[in-house]
Amino acid sequence: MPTSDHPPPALELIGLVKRFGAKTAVHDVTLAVPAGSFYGLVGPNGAGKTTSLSMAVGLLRPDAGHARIFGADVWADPVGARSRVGVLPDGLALPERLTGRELLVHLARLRGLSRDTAAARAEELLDLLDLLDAERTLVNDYSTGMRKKIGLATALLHGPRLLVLDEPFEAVDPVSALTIRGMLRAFVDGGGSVVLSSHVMALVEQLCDRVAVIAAGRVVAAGTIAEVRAGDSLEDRFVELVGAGVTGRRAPSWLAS
Amino acid sequence: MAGVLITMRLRVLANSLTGARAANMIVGGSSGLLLAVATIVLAGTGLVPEAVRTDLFALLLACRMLGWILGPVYTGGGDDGLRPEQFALLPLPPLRLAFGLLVAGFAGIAPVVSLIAFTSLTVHASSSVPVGGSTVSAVLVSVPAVVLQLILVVVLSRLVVALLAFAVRSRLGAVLSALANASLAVLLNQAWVLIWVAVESDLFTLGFPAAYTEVLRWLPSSWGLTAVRAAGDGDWVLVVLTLGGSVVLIGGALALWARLLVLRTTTRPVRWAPRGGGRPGSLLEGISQLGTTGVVAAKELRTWSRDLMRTHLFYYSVFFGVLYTAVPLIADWRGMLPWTGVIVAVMAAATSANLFGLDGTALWLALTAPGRERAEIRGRQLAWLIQVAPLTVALTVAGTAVGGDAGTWPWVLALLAATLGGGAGLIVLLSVYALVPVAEPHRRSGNPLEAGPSFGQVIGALLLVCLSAVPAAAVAWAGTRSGLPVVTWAAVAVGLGTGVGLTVWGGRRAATRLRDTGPEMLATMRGGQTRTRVVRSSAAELPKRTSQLVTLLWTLCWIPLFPQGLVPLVMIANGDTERLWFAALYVDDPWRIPVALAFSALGAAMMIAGTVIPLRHRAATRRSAVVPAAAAGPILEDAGG
Repeated sequence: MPTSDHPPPALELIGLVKRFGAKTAVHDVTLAVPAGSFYGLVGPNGAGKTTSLSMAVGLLRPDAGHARIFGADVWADPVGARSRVGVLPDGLALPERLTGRELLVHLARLRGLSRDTAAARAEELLDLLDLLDAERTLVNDYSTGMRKKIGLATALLHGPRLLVLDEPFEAVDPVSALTIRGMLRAFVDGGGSVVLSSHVMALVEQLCDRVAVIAAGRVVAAGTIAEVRAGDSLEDRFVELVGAGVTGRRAPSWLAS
Repeated sequence: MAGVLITMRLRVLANSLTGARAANMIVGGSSGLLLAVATIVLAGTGLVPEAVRTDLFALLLACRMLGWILGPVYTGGGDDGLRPEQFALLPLPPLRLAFGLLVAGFAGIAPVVSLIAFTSLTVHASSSVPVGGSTVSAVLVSVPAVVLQLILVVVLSRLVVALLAFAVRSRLGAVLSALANASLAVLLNQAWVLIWVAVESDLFTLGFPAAYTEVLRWLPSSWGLTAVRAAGDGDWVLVVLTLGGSVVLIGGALALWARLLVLRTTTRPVRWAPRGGGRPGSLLEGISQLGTTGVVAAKELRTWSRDLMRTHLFYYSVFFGVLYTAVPLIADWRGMLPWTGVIVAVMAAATSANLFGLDGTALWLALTAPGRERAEIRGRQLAWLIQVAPLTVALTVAGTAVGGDAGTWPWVLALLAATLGGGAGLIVLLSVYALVPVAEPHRRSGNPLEAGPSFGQVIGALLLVCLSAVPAAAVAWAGTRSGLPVVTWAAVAVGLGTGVGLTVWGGRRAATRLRDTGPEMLATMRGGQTRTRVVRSSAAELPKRTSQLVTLLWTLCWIPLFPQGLVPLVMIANGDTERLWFAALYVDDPWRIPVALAFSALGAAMMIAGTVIPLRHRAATRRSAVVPAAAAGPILEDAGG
């Protein structure tokens, strides 16, 4: 049991396993995200990042293992665990037939906020994320980047202490990306914790203080950026860790000449 | 290019020929062939009296054209073999692409069956030319007439599908396609009325009324027939006019279709932008003041009015109920009108049994805000009741005022209360217990026919909602039977009681289930889970013949169960004397009830067999081995990452 001297990690994954039929997507993922850290999760396509994060926040039931958020087990104490986390899943639907504002107000009030607070937070988030122009657009008609932003807004709405973000910068324009980075930085500086997954090594290197590399459903390296990097660039180290044979410059024969 | 498209289409058709599809194709093909043979027999023999022969022939030709036009609407939106979008990037002029797709469209079973049917024109030419006419000319003209007729129906079918695909991207289109869909369903269900009217008015000896004949002759479906008869009479002007008219019509339809293809692949539908809606004082804002349940209900009501699929389903229920009870008015029988509201309520429940499935993976939001499952369910129930109850009450009151009597009121009120309450309870139960994954809302093309609810789920909900009305109906029946109005009226209380009970109980069970298995539901919708999917898709793994049998049982069981079984029973109980098309009412008294009961039993038995056969097959499959993942179809698309 964690004591007051040793605050529990913001997120703790212990031996998570997930099988889809004959294929094991996640073999054994064990991770601890200390409170107050900015944690990057990197890995090649299909490595099990989304699956692991889904299990971490209670969107997918693991076949084995545990996930704890600030010490509260995601499956044994769902209410306690999930009230302290904000989630941005990758590629899931939203209530598509609402406008951005309607969606945020609706979710805020489902989280038990008063009408005025809900309206004020929705306004502030729409403003911050530059979504006010799309006032009369249904979420259904949002572009990919706008979907990311409104998803991020839903994650921030209730003032969580931990953010779990799956590919938060994918398809987001550079200006919005800068805003989001600023928001996340400020959140961590204020004592919050962030876990994000990404393919972009440079971004993780710049933004995060800790990183875990997942390959083929296993954690192959984890620690502070400097530890994982071990003197190399993160990108080189990543390629080395995931064991991809770099094939060099190859192109279709009729284009290469 | 047409050759490439034809091979592509045949390849696609062959690759997508799963058990159920093959069964459909065989059932459809053989019944079409049967009808084709019937047409030929009608055209070439003296089986049918001369007075109606030509008219009936023209009517069959018109039906076949109508089938081509409505068929794709009914089966879910046209040719899914080759979609124009797939060729949008090819450097081809639109007319050429349209022509290529049209030609490719002839590669299939339906066009071949229709070609056979249209050879009836040649048969007609060789056998029906009046004395003094030229059989040779008629037969010669019939050859181009047959070809043109076939091209015409195919191109019209393509054109209508294109128009529809265009229209359904708007709210109005969703409503109109609901009307078209409901009309066809009602036509299939109530065709007996039309046949009965035909028999009653001695159509077969007196011939069609002149006005019908006139209209029928002018329809494009009859132009080939007219050309053939004109050739026999030596009226070459009319031959040129009708055949030329067909060519012009084909050309025009093709040009319009080409234009629509361009529009379809290069424009996006006009987006609907919401107005106010949530301002203080509006109804929705008022509802959302009712705590978290109200918030969910407000979101649901917005979705009901903005999601084309939900709009389509809701209007389908309304049109179905209204048309269903209106068709007997042709026979001047108003006795069905009081039941309009009840039928609408039952259909609205049947088409709403996949609430979570239609929302797709948006369920994750409910999972990340735990403790709100009860509100999530109750809000959906509240929204459904707000959507359905006022309308059905109004329809019931109006229908009973027009078509009922003092004895009808307790019946309809009791059953309405029972079905509304039962519906509100069962839709949420089925939505969580029998979730059917459909295309994600933001990945749908906007065509509500494309990702509709599954047939099995609709049927299941339909049955359960009907069952939920049994206690109220039983009490009402007892009251009518014993002549005690007090008892009959007590049925209203029973209906209210079972309704409220089911709403409360169903909501509670659904909320518990949602809390316990939310992640599994989400996994099902993401398509990443094998377990649930294997169970679902096993219907398609039935052997072809068994699958055909099950389809047949489910298609036909309604006729003995409802129109020939339960409805006559209710009518006997009510002392109605109209016999109409109810077989049981044509026999004498000691036998009326047994015959109606026998029909009901037959229908129920067919239904039970239709349920048990796949279940037993499923159980046997499960016992024999773990189903390999590959058998479950494309299940692992999203599993990685």
